[in-house]
Amino acid sequence: MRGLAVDQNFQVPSVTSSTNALVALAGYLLGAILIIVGVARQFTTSTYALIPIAIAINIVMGQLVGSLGLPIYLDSIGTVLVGVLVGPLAGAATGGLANIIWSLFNPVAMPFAVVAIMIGLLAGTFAGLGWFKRFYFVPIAGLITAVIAAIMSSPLSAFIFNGVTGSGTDAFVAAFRAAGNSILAAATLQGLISDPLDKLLTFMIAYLIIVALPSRLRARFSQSAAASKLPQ
Amino acid sequence: MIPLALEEVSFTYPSGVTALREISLTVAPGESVALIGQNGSGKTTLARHLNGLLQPSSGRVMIGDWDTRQHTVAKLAARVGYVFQHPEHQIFKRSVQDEVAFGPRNLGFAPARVAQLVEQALQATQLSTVADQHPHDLLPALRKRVALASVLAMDTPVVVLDEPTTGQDAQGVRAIGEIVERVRAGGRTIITISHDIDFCADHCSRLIVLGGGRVLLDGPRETVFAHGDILEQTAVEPPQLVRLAQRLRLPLAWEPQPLLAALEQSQRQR
Amino acid sequence: MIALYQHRPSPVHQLHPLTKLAISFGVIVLALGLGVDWVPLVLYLLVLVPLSALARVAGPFVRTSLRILLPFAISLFVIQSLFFPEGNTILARLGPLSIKAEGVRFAFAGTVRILLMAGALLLTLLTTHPGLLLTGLVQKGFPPALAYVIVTTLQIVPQMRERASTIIDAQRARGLETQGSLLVRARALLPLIGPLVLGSLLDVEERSLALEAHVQRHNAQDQPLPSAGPHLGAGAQMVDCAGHARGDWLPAC
Repeated sequence: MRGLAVDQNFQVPSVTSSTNALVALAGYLLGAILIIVGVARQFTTSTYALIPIAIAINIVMGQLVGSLGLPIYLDSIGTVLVGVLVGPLAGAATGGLANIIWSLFNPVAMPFAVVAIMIGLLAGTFAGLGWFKRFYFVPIAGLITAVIAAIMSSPLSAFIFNGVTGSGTDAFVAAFRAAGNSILAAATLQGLISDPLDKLLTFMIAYLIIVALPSRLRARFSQSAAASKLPQ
Repeated sequence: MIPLALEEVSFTYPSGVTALREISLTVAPGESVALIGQNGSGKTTLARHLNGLLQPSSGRVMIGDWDTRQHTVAKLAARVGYVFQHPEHQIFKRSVQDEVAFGPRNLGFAPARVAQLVEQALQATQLSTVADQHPHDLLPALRKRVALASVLAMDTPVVVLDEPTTGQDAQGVRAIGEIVERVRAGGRTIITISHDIDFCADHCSRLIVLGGGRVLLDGPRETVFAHGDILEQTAVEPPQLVRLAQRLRLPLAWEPQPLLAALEQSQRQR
Repeated sequence: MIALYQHRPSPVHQLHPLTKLAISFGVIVLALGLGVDWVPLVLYLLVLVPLSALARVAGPFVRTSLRILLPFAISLFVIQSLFFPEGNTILARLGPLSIKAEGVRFAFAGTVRILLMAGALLLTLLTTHPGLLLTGLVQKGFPPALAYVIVTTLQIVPQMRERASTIIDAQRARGLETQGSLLVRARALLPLIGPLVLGSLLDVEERSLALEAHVQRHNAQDQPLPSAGPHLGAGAQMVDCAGHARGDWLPAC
């Protein structure tokens, strides 16, 4: 560190250290693996057939939206669809596995598996509560999911990635840091700004797709508990 | 009604594969043309130049007075309708009539005109009775007709059909054939890409045989079917009746009646 | 689709997949556990890069880790060196902004940490076929059904990309505008997403029937890896599809 004129007694003030990074990484990763392996035992073969397609939808959708040059991701539509159509646990597994697969291409995505799991879990839970029966509940479910996802991912951004996401939304991080916020606060506020639009659209598009399902697909999902609470 | 012209069109994919080599041809308004050739012959690549989905690497494609390079695909859609092979690649509405109305709405037609065009297209494809059903709840053969109707409703002077008979049984092929005849009678230009040589013989007056990115044969049915040697190279088999006529050394025929007449005449001569 | 895997004859490729995974996580734990800023950089340069050279993937290794690192590094250095309210050692002033030493150091620590984490995992991913990695995991108790899901997904993503680009063509041919204002492009979303999702869900029907038959067949033969085993052959075939895995799969539209 000779190139930098740094006071030797300097301590990074309470924002983070690499030990925190290790704790965050280990906790989130172990949690994700335990959840994925734990929920996986109970699915039917048709759920196992559905999950790969849902994950592929996540991946391809992210790219399709990118090709339209829209400032959103929509890369969890498949996860939300499985959560709503099959149930919260299947949604959770879809989110977790999607993240593992995405990590095969970009390993730094791996720590965020728990966030993806939570999105599937919440989508299934809201559907179970009947929130997908009426159109006006769907955006609210999307917003709540976005807030929870933002709060969950901010410690990862803060402790492992020192506060940034490596994308355009880092401009918000810069603004909040300039205003004197801590790293964790800036990362959280960034998520609270950038996630809601994406999750809102994701949930609404998932709703519109479910409404447009032909009856032969509706019949397939009608055995699941969530299906009785779907829009007619 | 408008003519089509390809002027020394060459096309090379980004992968480096050259699919079209200096192709020049014109199609007059109202013609029914078949593009035939084996996989990789360039027939689909050529068809995708007609509505701007692909732009020539060199040369130009004229749709009437429009150069395809100067118009977006969405704009060219007003002149050239393109029915894709798999209806699953386009269906997203909840009812057949909404699906069919999507194209004409995109073209900016007034609601009354859209309604009229949708009704005509549903009639032409005999789908009026299922207009309110979900397209995906129909049998595959009918779903294919939904895709056809959704392009016919755009009222384009030119219609491109990509493999219109795949996945159809004999009855389905006959139904598609009747639709094509109805569209021809309306004076629209039809370009059919097909492996189904019998279908092309029945419904297209002009055949263009492609191979290796070049036009190998181009002319009326009788001229093209007479070149068995070239057709053989391209793995295109002439229709069954043509092959039968050739084996019997009778004049070329691809419909039962003329073949029977020729057969009778040859019997009498003996 | 074989993700990042690079096929080479090398001793690193020969290692058991779980050994490599253990090395990767071991390096990460060591780097982060010591709590010294420059340790990750040293481990990256003196352990990971030589290992990647031994595995004959040094080129892709360095390129991919830098490609992953770059956006983070830019954000970190710009944001944390300019806006670091906790710091007070000013290195330079740029008009109203000032570069603070603590911020630069913080950005450096984050950058090398991300470089090391990405690099450690990349080493395993570049030198281990996903099919073998999953087989190794399944042998240690990872549920075979989940391995099936991962392998199947890798197989269908290229097909679905193809489907997506055909859908874009088909809908543009019906007059759908995909260029123009934000509103115009946003309106194109549903006509593109709809056929992609509906068509894929309809495929589930066939796939689940095939899967049921598959599981029954293998239960009858009492095979230890009912799902992942036979798909490794398919995994090898996926090599052919590697070209489609990244890059320009969508036409410029």
